[in-house]
Amino acid sequence: MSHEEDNTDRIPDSLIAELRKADEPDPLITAKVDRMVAHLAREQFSTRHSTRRQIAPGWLAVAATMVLAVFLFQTLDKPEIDATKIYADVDNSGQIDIADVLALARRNGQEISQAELDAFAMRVVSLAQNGETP
Amino acid sequence: MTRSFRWVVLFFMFSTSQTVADSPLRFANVDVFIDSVEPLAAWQLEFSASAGVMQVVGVESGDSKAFDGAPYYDREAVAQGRADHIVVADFSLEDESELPSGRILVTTLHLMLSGDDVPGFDTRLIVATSYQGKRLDAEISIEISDGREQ
Repeated sequence: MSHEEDNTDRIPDSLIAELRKADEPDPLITAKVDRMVAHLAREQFSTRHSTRRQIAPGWLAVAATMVLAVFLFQTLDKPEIDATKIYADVDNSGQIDIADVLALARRNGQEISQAELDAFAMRVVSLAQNGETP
Repeated sequence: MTRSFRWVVLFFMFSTSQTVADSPLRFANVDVFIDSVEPLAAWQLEFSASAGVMQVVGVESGDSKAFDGAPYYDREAVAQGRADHIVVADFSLEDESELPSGRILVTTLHLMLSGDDVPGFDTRLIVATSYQGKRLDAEISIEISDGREQ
């Protein structure tokens, strides 16, 4: 027995078959096969596309409802701040100024939001209304 | 259009353009300080020009942590270029121990100056109050830190 034969005997048949298969040339994709694959792909994706379109109006309705709900919530929750209601000589100094805003902010038992304080302060410094008593 | 009216129009255009050309714009920064022995909780001041033509083009906060946000002022008037004077104010809800005292930089005003007159300014402290809301006997002063021609 030669040395080469000795080596061949040791390699399993399955491995030899796999190695032979690997040496074979790649299967040729003909133009016909290519067209068929492309056609199948187009069909597949067109089906997906139409499914998405069918679902979209439902999601759109949900999204629109959510946007409307948020808008209504914000509108109803935050009414426009009217500084005239709180624009007053809070500390009885005889003039309306930033000290009144501070006095209002420090006043206990009355819920005044930061936005209301800002509106009051902005009115105090307004060049059109500065120093005027309402 | 008559010949004489044409001359009047030409004269008016010439004199107007001369006035604009001879009136360079300058910019200045004015630091406004309030000097108070007691801690300052709220302040309001008025700033105007006593001479020259001035326009407030920007308002900055001072250097105190208790008044770290932008102070209150008529932003619309400044944005629209009609702030030939300004009222600036701010208040703080910090604890008394956090309020500043001494010489406090409360705001920096950015001014655009025009005209040939040497600018003069009036600064009036409308109110300064303590933590308890007591009116403080505080002093107000300014420092003009810049003035470039453009």
